[in-house]
Amino acid sequence: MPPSSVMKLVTPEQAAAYATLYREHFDFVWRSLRRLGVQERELADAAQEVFVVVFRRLSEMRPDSKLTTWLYAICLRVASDARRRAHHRYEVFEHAESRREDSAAVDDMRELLLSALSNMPLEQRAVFVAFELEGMSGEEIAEVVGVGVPTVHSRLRLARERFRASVARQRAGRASPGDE
Amino acid sequence: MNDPKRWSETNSGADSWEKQILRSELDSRAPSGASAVVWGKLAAELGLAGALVTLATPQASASVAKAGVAAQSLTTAPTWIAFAKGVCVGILLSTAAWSGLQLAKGSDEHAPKGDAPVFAQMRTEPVPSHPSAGPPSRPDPSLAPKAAPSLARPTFAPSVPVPPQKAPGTTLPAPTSASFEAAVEGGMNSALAEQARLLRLARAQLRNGELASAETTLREAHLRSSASMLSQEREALDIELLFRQGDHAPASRRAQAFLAAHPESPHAARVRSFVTP
Repeated sequence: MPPSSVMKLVTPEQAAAYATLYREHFDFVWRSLRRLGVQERELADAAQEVFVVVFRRLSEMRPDSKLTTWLYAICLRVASDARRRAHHRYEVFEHAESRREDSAAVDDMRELLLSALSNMPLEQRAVFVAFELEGMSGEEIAEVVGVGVPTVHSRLRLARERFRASVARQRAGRASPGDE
Repeated sequence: MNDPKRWSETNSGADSWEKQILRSELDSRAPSGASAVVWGKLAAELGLAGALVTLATPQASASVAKAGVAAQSLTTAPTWIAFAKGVCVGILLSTAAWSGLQLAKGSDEHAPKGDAPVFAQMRTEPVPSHPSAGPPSRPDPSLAPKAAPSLARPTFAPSVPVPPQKAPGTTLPAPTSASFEAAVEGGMNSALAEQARLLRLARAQLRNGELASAETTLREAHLRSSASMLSQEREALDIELLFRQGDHAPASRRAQAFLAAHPESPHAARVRSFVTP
């Protein structure tokens, strides 16, 4: 039974508004979690976790915040927790995946991208995904990750270097041990 | 401090291969069905099961927004209002009112099953105005008015199953200040609220064994409804009334037809109990 603090919010109007928010942003949440390193088999649970947080903390959202920026911040925290929980189980798994893709002469762009992202530390990955794939500004990203804009730019530069190096290695067909 | 150019832009320093990789992922979507599965679990976890909220389609939302139906304020809290601005409140609440939002309070049997998709495609038929249905909704010349319902005793015809209408997602128009203010300051569609009230009353009367009163209430609900407004719940109550009146054979036939048309309905469990061998 949900706690009373949640139950009292569930009026038909609010539930309808929440449902529409869910419908309009589910894909964004899903792909953000995937890009931030949540494993495929955990994506549904992670997405559920994100939207539970959204439901409980929607009233805390600042009026001047963009909704996608706020959602991305929640996705980042959920992904970080998921990766931490899975660290010991999945670290070797991720590296094995990369090697398999490398040896198969990868022609799937998306797998190339995810593999390149997996070689970044989460702090660089979060900036790279937000900037290059979601089109967030440096200021918005700074708000999400809680650092200054110069730090965002620095992390972006480092992420780009890792991305370029990873893609070049995969194209060359060499195995790609994790270099985190 | 200016941001660098994105790698997908021209003259950004990225080579064509790197740009291709990024562009391949730009509009990726969740797998088909993922949204529904997660929603089912969410609805159960957050206690939305009692309100039976279903996911609206963008087409329904856009159509309802055109109708200009006033909607009740979500809350007076500034952050809720700000949030509503961002997600087109007029469209959201109109969708809830016009597109088959199903309200069933306080009954565990209405809780959707964990793995069943709980969202449904909803029609966008307007609700006809009724003298006793409260404040009239704003007229919209783009929507054809429905014929006035017959005042004869309803024959409890089974609900016509509505095939799911899948439509591609559309971009919702940004709310104007006027439409937003109207939506926030207006009230939830009174016809839907009245229909929900009548069905709750009928359900309570059935539970108490007040069959004659329940029949009268359901007749009034039929008179005041559009074909799509809470139709499944109304049909389920019609079936229950028939059964409790002793008409087991017609109740069973109606129940089987209901289950064939709406196998995933939140009322399916209750309706199944009226199927007699």
